[in-house]
Amino acid sequence: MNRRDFLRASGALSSLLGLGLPLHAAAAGPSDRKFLFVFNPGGWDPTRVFADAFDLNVDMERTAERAQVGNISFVDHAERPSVRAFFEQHHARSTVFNGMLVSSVAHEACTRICMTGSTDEGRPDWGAMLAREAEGRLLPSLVVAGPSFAGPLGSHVIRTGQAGQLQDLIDGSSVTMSGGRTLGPEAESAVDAYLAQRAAQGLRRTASETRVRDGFVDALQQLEGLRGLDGQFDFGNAFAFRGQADLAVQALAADTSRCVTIAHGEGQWDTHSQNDPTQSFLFEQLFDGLNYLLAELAAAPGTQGGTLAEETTVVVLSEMGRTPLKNGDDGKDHWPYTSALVISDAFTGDRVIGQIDQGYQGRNLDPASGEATDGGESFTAQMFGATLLASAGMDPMAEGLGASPITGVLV
Amino acid sequence: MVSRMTPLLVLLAACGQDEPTRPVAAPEPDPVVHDYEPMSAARVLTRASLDLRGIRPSESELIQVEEDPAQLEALIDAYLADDALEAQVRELFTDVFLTRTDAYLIDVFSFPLQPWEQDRLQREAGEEPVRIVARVVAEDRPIDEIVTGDWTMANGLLAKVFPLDRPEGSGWKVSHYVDGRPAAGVLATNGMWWRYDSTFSNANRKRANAISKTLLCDDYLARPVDFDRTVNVLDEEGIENSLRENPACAACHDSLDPLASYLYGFSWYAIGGDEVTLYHPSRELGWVDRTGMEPAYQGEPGRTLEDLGAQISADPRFAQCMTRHVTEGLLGHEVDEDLIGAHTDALLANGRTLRPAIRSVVDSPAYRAATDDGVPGGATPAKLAAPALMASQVEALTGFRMVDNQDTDLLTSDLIGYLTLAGGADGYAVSERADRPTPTMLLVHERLAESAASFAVRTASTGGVVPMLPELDLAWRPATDQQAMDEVLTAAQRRALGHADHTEELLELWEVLYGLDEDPELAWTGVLSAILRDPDALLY
Repeated sequence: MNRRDFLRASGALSSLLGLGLPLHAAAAGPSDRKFLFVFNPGGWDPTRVFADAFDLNVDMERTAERAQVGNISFVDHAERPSVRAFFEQHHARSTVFNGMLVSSVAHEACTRICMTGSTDEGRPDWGAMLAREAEGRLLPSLVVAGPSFAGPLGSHVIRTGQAGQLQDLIDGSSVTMSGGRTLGPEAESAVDAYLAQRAAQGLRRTASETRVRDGFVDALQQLEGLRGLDGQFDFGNAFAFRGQADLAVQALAADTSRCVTIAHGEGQWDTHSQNDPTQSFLFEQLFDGLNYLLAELAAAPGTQGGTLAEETTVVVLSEMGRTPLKNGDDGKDHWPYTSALVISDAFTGDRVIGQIDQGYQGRNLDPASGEATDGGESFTAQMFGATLLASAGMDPMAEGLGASPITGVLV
Repeated sequence: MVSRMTPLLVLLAACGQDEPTRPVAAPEPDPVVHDYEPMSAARVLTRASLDLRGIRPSESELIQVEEDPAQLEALIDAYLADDALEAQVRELFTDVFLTRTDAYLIDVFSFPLQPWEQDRLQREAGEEPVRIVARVVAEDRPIDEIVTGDWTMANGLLAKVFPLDRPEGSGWKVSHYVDGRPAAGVLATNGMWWRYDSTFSNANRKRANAISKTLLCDDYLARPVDFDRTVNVLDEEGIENSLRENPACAACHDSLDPLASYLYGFSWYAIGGDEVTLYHPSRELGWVDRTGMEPAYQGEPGRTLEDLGAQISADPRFAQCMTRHVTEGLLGHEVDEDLIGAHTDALLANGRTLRPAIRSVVDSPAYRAATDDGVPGGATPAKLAAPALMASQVEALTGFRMVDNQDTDLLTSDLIGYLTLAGGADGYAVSERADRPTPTMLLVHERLAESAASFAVRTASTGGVVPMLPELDLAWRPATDQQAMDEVLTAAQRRALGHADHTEELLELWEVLYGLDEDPELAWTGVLSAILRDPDALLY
């Protein structure tokens, strides 16, 4: 093979990646809907914002009040002005889900259930499943912070690293810091082309061998595109919530990602002591950040002609809730019912779904209407996930989910 | 009215009705003779060398088995006896214990440490339990010492903070706690309980499940959960009553809570200083006020962690579980119960040591088969190198290791390094290793390979020793020195991949790269990085 052949091979690889061209062809419909997950690790207390439990046997804040904007009732407090501001501005596009069952009170299990609907270690999370449908995108599911369960969809999930290490890898500073040299784009392409040939030659005598070697080829095809992001994104500056939000908006606006996951309040939500001041502080921070995020999404052009806000479903969630009554440390312990907030044009909005019963447990739902009912189905994290997938035009049953989507909340 | 049972509450409340104690099948030889096509001796040797030593076979070892495949078994025996096995066992069990997480809910500022030591402490504390296991294996000690040993492993940094009697000197050494904690191996280590912390309300149940999951392969959280919605769980009293009286709850909590009651000596009232470094014998009876459940293991009463260690070691599930970890670690996938019987046999027949079990796995069809045909559960033909293995084999080939200025290996750290990006698990956000290549995995490998190749070219071209390069002269050109270049490329492939089938293509690649800028250093760096990134370097 001469130099021309090598460069031709490199060109062929580049063509596969669509380099130099729009990374994703524009099209309309749910299948183009983007998702931004805002995960709040540790377990928030829904009764501080989402769950109006003033009439139940629940330790509510003495200075909190029931409030309503549009059809959304929420828990208002003078120390959380950003919460009120959020609902005043965004209630029409917001759907609050209360009483969502996660079937555990252990952080690891709840996180997995919340993000995948199951404790099955092989099941990918919602972001990875949605990203699988995002053909041609370089960072299909971008995980800036928070949990990630890739399952068999590892090639669709890109983590940026706890300290934004992806930046060092993309710009090559991981090499130069150790005194080495990167090869540069042309040489890297030539080496990639050689490796693509090598991967194609490898033995595929068993199912697992085929799976892994094909995975190598798939990942290699994305590699040049990843390196090509140098200078376009700053993965190394996304620590605070606004930095994460900026990166998320950037990746969605460029259409390099279908899903982005960011996080808020690392570990602090787990308020076994001092529940009220900590939860209040974190919710205020969170909604301040959400107000910023939604403003940025509204200001960014989408890829279908509208704004990015119109094309993006923002999903705000936490892996568990907290007990209705306080413990001896003025804290609250783990509770297997949590809440979620969705801001999206794909949902009917201005609505609270799910109810808490007298025992502070979630009531069943009628999936067709979203109304609480004594019949219907248990409102589980799996049902919530099925609803997200359905909003993107996917068939939850085909994805192996046993729960029905709540079609009553979908546009 | 039909009672509605809704899935709910693990640990806090409910579990399935399954009897947690699994009957232990008597080991018996597999009556089925499996016909299968084995991999070549060289390929088995390569796999075994990487798994047992973290490096590839030497050229002479490859030649030995190519000329006489019967030499394979003796070489594997030698690998099993190699000191490098200890590090490999450590990496294998790191994915089991998930204690090396780089960060704990511990106030590291409460210790008299330099700033650069604070991060290292969090990283290295997590090594403590897995280094106990690694020593037990490396020194052919019975696995029981994992839960009964009166010693731990510590380096100088841990000894600065933990109450330890540790011999002088660098590195990790056998050490002894001096704060009166029971002799209970990993059960009595700070590293284990820093990772698996607890709260007053959790009552050590998370820790008890960590014991059950890692040492007995019985994860309470994986059990089906049902909860009777009519039960009052609105307050702590109601919850505690339910745990005892409701059959669905009691199915798990009747065994979990007594297990948790052994662990109150590790109760803390703060997250720094002596609270988290010392064992607190005076708090051992904390269960009396908390759950009221006396310490017991599967119904057998005990008193201290020492009792618990003895009870676990006497449980046949412990030996099976340790064997399972080794089997799944070496095969790279989960296996059914019937596939580990022979390997457990090997452990039991050899003084309850793990090395014979490791040998048994390496001898098995699942490890050596070239195809799935005739292999129960399927063969394991394409294993993916874990980040630590990629780092160790690149170091052995080039002398280069990717570290930061505190000598932290960037391939095994997630806080500052590339562990999860390279497909590893950090124990929190990512709980299992990737089992197929990902884009960021290949990006990490690319940067590692470029760095290592740069280092190797600079070293070899100035007369230094680089294992994968017999020699290197940057003045060589294909037109005049093709034979020398062919020999170098052939040697490099043999050493890095076990074969040298692509010398011609690599020389062509060299010419392409040289043609870009007439820079021989770039061209050599490129072809060496291509060899280090070859699919056969990642998949083995």
